[in-house]
Amino acid sequence: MAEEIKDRNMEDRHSISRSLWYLYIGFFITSLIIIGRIIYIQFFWEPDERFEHYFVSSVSERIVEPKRGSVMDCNGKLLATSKPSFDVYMDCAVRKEYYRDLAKKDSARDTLETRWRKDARLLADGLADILSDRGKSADQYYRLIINGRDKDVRYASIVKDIDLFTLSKLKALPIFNRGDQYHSGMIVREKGKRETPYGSLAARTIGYVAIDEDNYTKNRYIGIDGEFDHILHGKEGKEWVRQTDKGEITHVDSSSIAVQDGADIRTTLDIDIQDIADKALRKHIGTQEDIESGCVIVMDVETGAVKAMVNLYRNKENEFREIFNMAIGRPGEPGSVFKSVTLMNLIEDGHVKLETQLPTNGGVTPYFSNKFGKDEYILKYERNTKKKKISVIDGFEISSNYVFRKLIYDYYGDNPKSYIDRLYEYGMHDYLDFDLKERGMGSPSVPNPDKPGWGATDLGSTAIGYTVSVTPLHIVNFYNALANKGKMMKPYIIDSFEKDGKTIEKFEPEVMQGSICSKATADTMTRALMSVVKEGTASKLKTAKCSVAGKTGTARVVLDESERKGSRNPYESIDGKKRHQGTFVGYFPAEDPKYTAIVVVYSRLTKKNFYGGDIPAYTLKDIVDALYTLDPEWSREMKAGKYIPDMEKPYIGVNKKEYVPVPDVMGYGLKDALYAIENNGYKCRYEGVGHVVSQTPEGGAEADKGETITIVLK
Amino acid sequence: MNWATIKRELRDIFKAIGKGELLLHLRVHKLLPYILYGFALACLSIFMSYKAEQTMLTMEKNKLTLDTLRVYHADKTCEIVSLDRISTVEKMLENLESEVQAPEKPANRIKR
Repeated sequence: MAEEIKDRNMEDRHSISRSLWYLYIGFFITSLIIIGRIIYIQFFWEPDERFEHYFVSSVSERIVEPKRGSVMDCNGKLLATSKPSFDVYMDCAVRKEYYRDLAKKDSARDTLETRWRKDARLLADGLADILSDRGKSADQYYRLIINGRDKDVRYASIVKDIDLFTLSKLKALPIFNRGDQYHSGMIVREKGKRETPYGSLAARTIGYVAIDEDNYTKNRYIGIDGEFDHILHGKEGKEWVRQTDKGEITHVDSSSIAVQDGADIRTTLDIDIQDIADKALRKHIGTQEDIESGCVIVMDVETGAVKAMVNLYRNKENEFREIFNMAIGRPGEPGSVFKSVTLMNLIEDGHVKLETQLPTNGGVTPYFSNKFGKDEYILKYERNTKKKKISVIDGFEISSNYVFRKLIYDYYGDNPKSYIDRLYEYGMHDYLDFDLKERGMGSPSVPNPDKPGWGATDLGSTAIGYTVSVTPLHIVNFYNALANKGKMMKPYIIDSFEKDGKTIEKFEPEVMQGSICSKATADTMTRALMSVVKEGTASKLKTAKCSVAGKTGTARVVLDESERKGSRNPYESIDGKKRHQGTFVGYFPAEDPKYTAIVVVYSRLTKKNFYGGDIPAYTLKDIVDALYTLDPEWSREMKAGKYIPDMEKPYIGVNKKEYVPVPDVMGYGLKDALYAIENNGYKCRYEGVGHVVSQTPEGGAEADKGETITIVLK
Repeated sequence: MNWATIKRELRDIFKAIGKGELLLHLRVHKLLPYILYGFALACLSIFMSYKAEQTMLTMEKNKLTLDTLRVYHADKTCEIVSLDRISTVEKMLENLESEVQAPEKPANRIKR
């Protein structure tokens, strides 16, 4: 019995151990299968494209681009700012394979593809309608989409550079309104776009940054935007993004780097003055076919802050555009405006007074009759006045080259260096440490008596603004010092760096030369410059709304070899054509100057003559008149309690036309739409909520005043 | 604890597994409040994680809305700023055939 029990126990035990063995084998095989499967999935398996994103890591690194800072004028008005723009592409083959697979299983499903193609027609119609300014027809869009679908094009460019408003309209179109890009096929790429709300105003001075992704040597850094790219750009950030079924979640941990937006730059420019100067220059050079370009600088006398810098260059399409900063980038012989430098030194050194008389000598400079010839202005003076003597002030008024050559040889002929050194003191030879000196500032040059190449005629030429080569900024800076009673300020255009409305770095005005002359000399110079306007070559400014002290200058420009065509005269081509640089520079109101301004125009190669007393003087007159009336600085103060004259209420009429075009309110909110419609004299009826999706009659149509415009909002 | 005791314990555990009485064998019923507490904590943790994720998703959506509004604001700012130009205003007045023009002299101020 005991044996039997023992045998049964042994049998049971064997049975259990067998079961456990099978179980073990089962587990072992299963584990092998699992390991094999893992290896297969890890190294060989490729998931279906449609579901691939479910199998890849849900956490990824994202570089966060900083918001580029804005450039503002002195009153905080936006001159350049960044806002996103969008490029739209289309995956034309979206859901194509899915529809095909469904159609294989169920032939009725083939209608999905047919319906998609029908919707593509509606999409094309909508694109042509919304993007009407891009000049593509609905048929062209349809062909692009359908051909793309047939050829499995996954990235067809639909439109570039659209704003958010247009994008939201596109997203509402058939097919594009089917959700994410895997369903709608709509691929949107956002990019930062530099916007200049004032259009071309000061475009070259504000500048831009153009990055060439393929060749960094072609990167372009222009103007303020280029020079201060390191301030405006900010620093990129890094964060981790986890994909979930319901969207993306941003994770911040110790390895994340917070993005630092760029700082804003407040400039010294005043956009109103810029607009006035731009308009005045366009008005006067726009009608002159032989004018190639022109520039204007307006500077604040007390601080040296640049308030306006206009640069208009005629392009191939015969339009004036801001394409080159001549105000700082085009050095040249300034001509007679340089005579003020000579006169100031003569007066400051006590050599002459304005009333000092000198012989007219038939307009011939002693010892240099062969080199300089006769001064036509002196011959005319002799004829008109029957005098054989001329005062310094008269010579300055008529801008006589003879007078200034004679004076410079008489008083500095033995020691030209004492005169030339002064030019170096005024910074005529360097970049004035201007904020944009690295961005296309031209190299000025002043002759040096100690260096080889100095000739006997150089001193006489320098006295009248030849052999020296300076930019308009150098000239205006010198005149600004005269206006500022001899104190020369450093010209500057950057006022401060700001972040979130707070100033982080402020640039104060700097004195370049405490005194280039005594106050008495500066006052004498102002008297001389005022007489140029009253009696001399700048008489066009006599009728300006406030008194102006200034000087005209007309210089011939040295021609290229190709322009000279073999002529020995560097200023004239073989067929008698020349290039001129006409300048007017001055300050106003002359008695208590607030602004100094320079206008320079450059002619094409032409047989016509251009003078600083014409276009530049007229341009400056317009600027002076506009500034004088707009600036509250010069408001007349009326004492309270005194008689105040009755004023006639002027008639101010708007909307005088019987027919005013129906305003286009598509996309407006209800409030804006009502305002636009009712302000134009129409009544409004509306349905729905949201934004206007249709209007009757259409925008731009003519309708009787008081007619009802029906709008539908969605 | 010697080897024999370990063997006995293991045997008892296997027996208890066979009988489906393992938890009773381990006297887990005495720890039931703690187990329930742990279970509740785990549930709470999952719930909190879920709510946190929901909040973060809402935050992301709000961020997107804010970004969109920021872009819209930038668009409108540029549009409005572009109108704030003397020559643009003059052109608009001209189109409206208005007689309003720039002043011809500075405004008079009344002294206080």
